[in-house]
Amino acid sequence: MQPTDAPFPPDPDVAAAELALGLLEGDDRAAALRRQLADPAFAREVQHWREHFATLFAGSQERVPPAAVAERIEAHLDRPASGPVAAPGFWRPLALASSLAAAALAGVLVLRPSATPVIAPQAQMVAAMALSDGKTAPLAAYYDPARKIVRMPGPMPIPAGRSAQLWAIAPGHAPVPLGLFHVVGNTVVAEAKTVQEIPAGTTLAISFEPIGGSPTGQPTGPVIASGALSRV
Amino acid sequence: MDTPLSHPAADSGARARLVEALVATGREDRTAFRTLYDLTSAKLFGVILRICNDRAAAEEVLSDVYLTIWKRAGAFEPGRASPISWLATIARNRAIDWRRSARRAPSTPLDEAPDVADDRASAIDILLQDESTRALHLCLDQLDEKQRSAIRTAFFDGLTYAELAERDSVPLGTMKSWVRRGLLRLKDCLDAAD
Repeated sequence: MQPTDAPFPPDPDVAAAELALGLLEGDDRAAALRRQLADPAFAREVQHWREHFATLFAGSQERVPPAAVAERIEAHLDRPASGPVAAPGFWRPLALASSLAAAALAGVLVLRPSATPVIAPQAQMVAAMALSDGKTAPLAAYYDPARKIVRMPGPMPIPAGRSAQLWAIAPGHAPVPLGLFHVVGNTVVAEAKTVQEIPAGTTLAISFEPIGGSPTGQPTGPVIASGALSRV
Repeated sequence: MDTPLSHPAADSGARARLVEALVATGREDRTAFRTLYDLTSAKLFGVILRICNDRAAAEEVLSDVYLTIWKRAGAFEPGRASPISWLATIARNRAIDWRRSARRAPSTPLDEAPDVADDRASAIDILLQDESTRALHLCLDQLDEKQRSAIRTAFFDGLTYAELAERDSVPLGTMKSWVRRGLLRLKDCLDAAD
C-alpha cells in the first residue's frame, strides 16, 4: 500500500460520494449538483451512496427530545391554514412548510391556482425548455413573478409514482427546489414561492422525483427539460 | 462489535410497525404520526443535535423535520426505501442546511450531559443493521484510520472538506486526497460486495 504522504496520481472521481456525504461547498458543490441533474447515471450513483451511508445511522446516539418539541409540532398541525407565525431569515421556509402541512390537514387543496387555465399573455419571463429526449422541440415555460408560478403547456408525461419538480439554478449555484407540477386545464403549473423572484439568466430545470418532491432538497431523479429564463 | 442479528422475527415486527406508522401518516392519520414520532424522534434528534451542536436550533430543526415528514409521508414507498433511513436522511440533510446557512464553526462535542447514554442497540439500530448487508461497515474497516475517521466525521458531524481540514490542521488539498482515495477504496470494496 502507498503511504498517505507520498505523491499520488490525480484524485479519483468520487464526486457522487462527495455529494452524498456533503463534503463539497461552493462551486464544486454546484458543479456536482448540475451533474446530478444532467446525468441520470451519476444521480443513481449519488442515491446508492446515500443508501450505503444511511446504514451508519445505526451507530448514532439517540437523544430524547424535550416534550415541548412534540407539543410544538402538534400545535402547528392544529393551527388553521392561515396562521403560521412569521419567522425571520432562514426560518421562513419552515413557516412555509408548516402552513402547507396545516393546509393539508384542513383538507384545503394546497396548490390551487386561482385563475382560468390559460397561459397569461402578460407573463414577463419565458424559458425555452429543451427536452432531454432530444427528439421533441423545446417547450415554452412562462414565469409570472407577480403570482410566483411557472406555467407550461400540458400534458406532461409524468411516470406513475413520480412527481415532476421545478428547480431554479442561478449561474454557479446549487439548484433551489421550487414546486411540483400540477395539471390545470390544458397546462401544467408549478409554484415558485420559495424564492423572492427568479432573475433572468437563471436556468429552470424539471426533474422526476418521488411523489411529493425530492426528499433531500436537491434533485435526485433524471432531468427531463431545462432552459434559461429571459425577459420578453 | 455491532450487535449480531439475533432476533430476526422481532426485527421484522419492529420494521413492520414503523412502515405501518409511516404509511398511515401519509394518509394524515394523526395517531399514527404520534406513534411514528415516539418510535423515531430520539434517533432523529441524536442525528440533528450532533450536526447542529446547538440545542435550541436542534429542537427547531427536529420540529421542522417532523412537519416535513407529515407533509411527505405519502411519498414514502415501502418497497423501495427503508423507513428509518428515509427519515434519518431527511433529518441529516435538514440539520446540515441549518448548519451551513448559520455559518457555524465546526462542531465540538457538546459539554452537557447526554439525555440518554444508552449503549445497547435500540430497536431502530437493529433495523438499520438488518436492512443493510453491513457492507459499508466492513468496507470502512479496511480503510486507513485517517480516511475512516474523516469519512465518519463528515457523515456524523456534517463537515465539509474545508472544515475537516481545519479540524485536523492539515492543508485542504491533503484532506481532499485522503478522503478521495478512501472513497475510491470504499467504492471498489462495495462494488466487490454487490
